Amino acid sequence: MVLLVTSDNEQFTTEREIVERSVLIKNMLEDVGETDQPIPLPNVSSSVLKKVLEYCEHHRGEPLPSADSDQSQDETRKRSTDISEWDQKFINVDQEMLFEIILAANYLDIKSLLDVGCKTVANMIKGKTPEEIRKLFNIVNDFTPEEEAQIKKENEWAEDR
Amino acid sequence: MDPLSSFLRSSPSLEDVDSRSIEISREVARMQDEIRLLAEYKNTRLIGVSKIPAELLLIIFEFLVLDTIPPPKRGIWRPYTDILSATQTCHSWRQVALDSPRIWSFIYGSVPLPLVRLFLERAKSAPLYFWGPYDRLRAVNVLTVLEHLGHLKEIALKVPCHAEWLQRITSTPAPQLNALSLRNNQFLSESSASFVLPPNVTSAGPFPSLRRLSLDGYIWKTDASCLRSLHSLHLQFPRIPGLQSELSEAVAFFASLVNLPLLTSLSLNGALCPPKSTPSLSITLPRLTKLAVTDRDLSIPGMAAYIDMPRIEEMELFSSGSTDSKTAAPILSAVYSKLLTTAEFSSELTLEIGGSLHGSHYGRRERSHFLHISC
Repeated sequence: MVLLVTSDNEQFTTEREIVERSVLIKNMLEDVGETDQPIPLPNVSSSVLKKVLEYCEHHRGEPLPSADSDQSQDETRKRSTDISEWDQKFINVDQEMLFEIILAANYLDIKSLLDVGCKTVANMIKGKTPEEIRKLFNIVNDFTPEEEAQIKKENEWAEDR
Repeated sequence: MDPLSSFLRSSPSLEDVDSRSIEISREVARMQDEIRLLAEYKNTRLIGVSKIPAELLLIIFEFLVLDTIPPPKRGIWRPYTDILSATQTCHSWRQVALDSPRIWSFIYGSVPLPLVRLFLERAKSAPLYFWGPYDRLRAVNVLTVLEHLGHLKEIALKVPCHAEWLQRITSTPAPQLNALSLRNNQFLSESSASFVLPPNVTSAGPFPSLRRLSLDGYIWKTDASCLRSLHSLHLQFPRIPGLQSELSEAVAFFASLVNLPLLTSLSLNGALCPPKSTPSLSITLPRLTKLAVTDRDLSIPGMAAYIDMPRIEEMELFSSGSTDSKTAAPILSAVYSKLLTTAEFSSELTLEIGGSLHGSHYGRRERSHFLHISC
């Protein structure tokens, strides 16, 4: 069993197989060997770690992406934003939690979870106009007149037949 | 009384009014700049999405530019709509994208030429990926992108490749080209359908990095030794009466594969001329894990009997012509014996050997397996 301590000082005890989906923790455990020492996670709060561990537990035993598979993905370059049914339900959270999960997946180096988070944000953007995207994320239009002119040109080019 | 009213009560001259107007315009511009800076501060520091750092925003943008599916026929496909919308949302998102040449390196051949030029300009010297969809490919886009062959990492054209494009692709060194997929429908002569790499473009050939090559509708007429980095080779040639004699001879083709030491996947469909006599051939393809050969003449799939494939995992040999069991039996036996003596069987091997025993019915090929072994 592995003991994890979150930024808000909460402790989580979990199985090594589950938590080793995080490359960061896997490497730490390999470096220190068998130990009862808690692993501090200063960048992850307890509510987020709870979600991350739920994801890792569901996907336990699945093969981890290797350096080779990264390379082949780089070659094919076709990336799909499809998300499995379970992952979709799992990531159906408010924006604040979604961004925190993405940041935690990046910090903990859990590539598949990072992909699920980024795909979810991409799917939220898809099919929307810039104004609709601003509304969705509470963004304000802060373009300079020069940028507005360039954007107008881009849109004319995109409409070119 | 407000400052402007008292100014007007002072009966200002024309020059005074003009001067005051300029002064106010400057003040408005300054205030607009301040509003923009406040908006930028909010966008980059205060809202939830501002937590996402640039490197993760780029992953999201990549999904937007890569996961685009052409609509059903007659629909308008605009593969850049989502990425353009995202980069037109706010200054910081736009800047993140503009600072990343890779986001602009995925070129779709069906978009308007000015957009192709914009993407090429913003991609700077990043490796380029060029995809031509099944329809709406604009020839001018292809020629524009092919001017950047030195930066291309992938070319995949789903539409027939013009002879001029092929000539340009095969005659210009493309040191970064990793994947090439072309289709041909020009069967007027051997030269119009031949895939030939001219010798001595460079010592390592025109494509020293090429790992995946897929040629649909071409006659293989090239020297495999200048494609030494190839991992996957797919050759498909539709049956054209009278053109068979122009195809590469099977024994010579397989013999040349020793020049491809990294080959892991080989797929041939009607691509070769059958051997005239019993082949004298013994080659080893040390990394081959997948072999698929389909031909009218079972002797071509039967060439597998002359190849040592210690790592083979999946093999599909298929005769699309009429083949009787009497002819097939010795060929199948030879392939099977070869596998037993050379394959390591370190992982599961699926071997499917099949053929059409009864020819075609209503234009649809009957597919019956002679032998299906899973070890």
